[in-house]
Amino acid sequence: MRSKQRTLHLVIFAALAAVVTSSCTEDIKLNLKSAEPHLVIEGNISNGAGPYTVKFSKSKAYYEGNDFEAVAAEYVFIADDAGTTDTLHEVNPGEYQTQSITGVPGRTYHLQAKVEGVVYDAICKMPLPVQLDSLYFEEPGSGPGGPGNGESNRLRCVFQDPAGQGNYYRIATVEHGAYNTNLRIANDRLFDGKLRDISTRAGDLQTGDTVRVELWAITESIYNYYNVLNQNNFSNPVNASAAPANPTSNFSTEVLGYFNAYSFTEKTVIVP
Amino acid sequence: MYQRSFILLLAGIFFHIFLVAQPGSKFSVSGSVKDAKTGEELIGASVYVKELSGAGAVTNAYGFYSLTLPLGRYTLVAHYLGYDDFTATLDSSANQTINIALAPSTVQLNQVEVTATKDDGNVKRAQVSAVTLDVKEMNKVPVLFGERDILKTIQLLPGVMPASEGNSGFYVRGGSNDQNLLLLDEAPVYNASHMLGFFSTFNSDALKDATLYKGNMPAEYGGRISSVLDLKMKEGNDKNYVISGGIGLITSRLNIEGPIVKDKGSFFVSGRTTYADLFLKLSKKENLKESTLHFYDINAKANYRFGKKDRVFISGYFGQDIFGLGTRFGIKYGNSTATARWNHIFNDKLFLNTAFIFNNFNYTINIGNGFDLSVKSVVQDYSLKQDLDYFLNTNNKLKFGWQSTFHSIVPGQVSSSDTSRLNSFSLTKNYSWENGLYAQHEVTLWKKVNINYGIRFSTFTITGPSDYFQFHPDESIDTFRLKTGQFGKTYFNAEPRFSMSYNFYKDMSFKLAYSRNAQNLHQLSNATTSNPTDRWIMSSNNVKPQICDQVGGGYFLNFYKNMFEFSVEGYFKWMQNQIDYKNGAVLRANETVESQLIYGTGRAYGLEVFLKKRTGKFTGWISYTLARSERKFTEVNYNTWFPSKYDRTHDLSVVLMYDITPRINVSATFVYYTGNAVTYPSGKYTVNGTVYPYYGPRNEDRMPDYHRMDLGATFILKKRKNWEHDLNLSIYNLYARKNAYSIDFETRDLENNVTVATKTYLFRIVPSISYNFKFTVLKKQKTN
Repeated sequence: MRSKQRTLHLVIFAALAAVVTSSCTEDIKLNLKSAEPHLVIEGNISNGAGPYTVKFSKSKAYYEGNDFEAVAAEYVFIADDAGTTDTLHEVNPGEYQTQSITGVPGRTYHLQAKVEGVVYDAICKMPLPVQLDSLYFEEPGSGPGGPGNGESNRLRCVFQDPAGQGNYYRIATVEHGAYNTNLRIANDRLFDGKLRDISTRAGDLQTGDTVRVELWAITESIYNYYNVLNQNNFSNPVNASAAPANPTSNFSTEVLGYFNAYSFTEKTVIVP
Repeated sequence: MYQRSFILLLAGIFFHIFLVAQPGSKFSVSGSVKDAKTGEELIGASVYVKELSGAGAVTNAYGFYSLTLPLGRYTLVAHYLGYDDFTATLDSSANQTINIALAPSTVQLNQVEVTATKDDGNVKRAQVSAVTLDVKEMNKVPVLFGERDILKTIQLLPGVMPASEGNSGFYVRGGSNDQNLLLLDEAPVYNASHMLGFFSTFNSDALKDATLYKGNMPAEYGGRISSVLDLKMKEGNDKNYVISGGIGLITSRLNIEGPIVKDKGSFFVSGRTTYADLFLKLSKKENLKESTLHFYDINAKANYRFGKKDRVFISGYFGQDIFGLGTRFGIKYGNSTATARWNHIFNDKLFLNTAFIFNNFNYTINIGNGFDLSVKSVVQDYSLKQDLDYFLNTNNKLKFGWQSTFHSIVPGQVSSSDTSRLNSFSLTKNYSWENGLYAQHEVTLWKKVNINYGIRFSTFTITGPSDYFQFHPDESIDTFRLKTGQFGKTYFNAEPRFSMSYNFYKDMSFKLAYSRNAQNLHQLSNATTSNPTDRWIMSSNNVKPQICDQVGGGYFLNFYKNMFEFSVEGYFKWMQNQIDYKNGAVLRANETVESQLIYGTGRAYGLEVFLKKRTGKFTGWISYTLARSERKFTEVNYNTWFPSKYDRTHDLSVVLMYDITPRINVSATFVYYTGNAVTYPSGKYTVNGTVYPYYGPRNEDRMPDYHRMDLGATFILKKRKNWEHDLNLSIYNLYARKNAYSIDFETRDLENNVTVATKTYLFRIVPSISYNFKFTVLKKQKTN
């Protein structure tokens, strides 16, 4: 909704500007502060097949290139509340994988890592999966996105939200064998217990391409984390805040990143 | 403790009245001061007797004055800048009524300089931090798109800053936009914006008088902690019918005024509409062509005198904005206000105003194909108030009053059609009852000291039918319900205020002031731009009233026979219960929005310098503010003070106006201010295969500095007794500076995966033209 208002502001400028002038955008060189590099831990575990990955990297100054330094961990393990502990091994610099553990919905997972002498802990309970019922492509231009949103890559995902509030979702699309980084998230605050179809925008697709869509059930803290990431998104901020801040991690020690235990169901569709 | 001090105060006042009000040895003269041509009452005109220095009065908001004098023969003088003085001989035989009509000065044929204060009133009065704006002078200042706008003009005063480029929202002395009380004929206007802020709801054609209090507001005002902008609509010409109006690039205006019964009552109606969306049709983009962009507003007012002692006023405003992006998204919003007032003069000394006030602000958002979802929100007040002016004698003036307001807020009602896959639901409505009771005493001592002190007691009570929430540290929530007429949490605030001036010489004074104000309605705005859909909430069991204590002082000097006005003012403000948001807060459509809020403290301090040349061919002013505004929250920046969004270190405005000939006037303004405090990324990191900004402490960065110069010119094409018209040209942003409206950060894949910063600027150079006319139907004058 906020982004609609941004559009509205721009429409007003356009109208006023049409009179004599035009609003414009140009690059500006700002003298930005350089924060100390901070550790980033990104861990995922799901009810899909393993191995699961935990990555360690460092933040860097804003105007530097986008090659982020990998960081080695002294150790990393993931344990569940059924007594399984799996120590991860390094497969690439800064990238660690599990060896045997399998994610089970309803279990609580504990990730512990020691990096540069500091121990980091995160606990996450894997929610129960919600069945993705069906999947279809929207008719171009029929969506609620306003004019100009007539792309043919909008997918609708239909599912039945379980009664009782507190369900949080991410709709992840896998295109050309890779996850689309678009964080399409939802919570059932406004559609609790309803049959819901949520639209998501896929990337560049051709007729005949295969798209796999996963309906992730995520925890509230991960939802909030993703929500702030979306607000902070460079290319398409959603509900950008006047006072932006980093998302709150679910690690007990101050660190960037998160540990996400999610469950999912999936469907595949071929672009018509 | 407060009760005790109030009782002492009242006792003091009554004792004083008892002492002074001894009949027999004195007589009084009272009446009204009006413009002889239009019949409009003159607010702030001075009335005095020549023989007694210091024996003078100033007309109140309804043009009423009262003087009490020792028996004797006097020469009565009424004075108002830009008008010829009125003189009359007073005989002391009995109390008397003298209604005065002042003729506009003939020395300056046109562009009469009306400064709506007694020439040296700014120096003498105890009131600090108040500015009375001259509506006529305002019309000379160059403006964006040629649209005269009071809210843009006040941004050129010290201590007042625009919320953003071209925006009618403003910040006063480091406070937020919702801390300003905007009154239109005593009715609060909750969202004074058209076109999401580019224009204000106040049509300058309909305004008669505007006074801005930047702090230390008189006790009659309550409910906001930063400032009060008190606007009064024109009464209308009570002698002749007048049709006036204007055609501009964005809007056109038409005003009709005239007598209901000559010299007894008059009316004024003003309408304004925009045709900005015509320009959209010129656009090549299909989606812009389909869009609507429209607003209009109407001001109407009528007054009638019943006999010599009673007068009734009815006034109202209605305005609406309508936007739409095709058939998929639309916003409609608007304000309406209505005020019914009754002035009653009990006797020469006692003046009563009773007002019933209604105001409503609402918006509706429509979303989806054929609008299958709509969100509606309403903020509405009913209010009754009485104000008594008691002109005890020339050295003592008392003001008493009370106000009772019933507030209701519908925060968001979502209705969805059957085809929608969202639930229809309604956020709980909130109701509250706010009361104020005040007393204020203005006293002059030893002819050199003016003291104004008073107190306002305010109560705020939440009531039903409504649900309220109790949040616990373990994140559980208890809900409790208040039934209709059942009262919940009540806040009581005593808001004392005191100000004094000491006149060293006739035209020089020092002033000191202290005041406390409380605010029980708060607006939540978490975006970079303010929107009409920003949510209003009330104080509740969770949200405490915002409280502001302000001390201020200043040095005031008029020189060259009041041709120049100079002042330096300093202030310090402490603010309690300031509101901010948790990271990632959900403010919209959220029943438990209060759980998203954090509470902290604020402080603001600054120095304001003002120099104005008030008369002559060449007029204008320079204002400069050096200020700081900070906030502190446990949850932000590790509980240290950080600059607020309203913090701008330097703020300079220069306004120059020059009458080249009686028919041609040119003007120029220059504005400079420090960019506001913002949070830029101080690094970046990667998660989820995407690069995200890393943010350091809040508001440790600055937007680029802002500066701009505008030019304006008015050509009077013709000026006759019954017909006049003029052409107004203006150039906004003369040197086409690309002032940053917003700064965005983005990754650019093409150039080696780098991240860059881009700025968006709204305007380069904006020339505009408008045409104004005024046609008076002159009736044949009967000789009196």
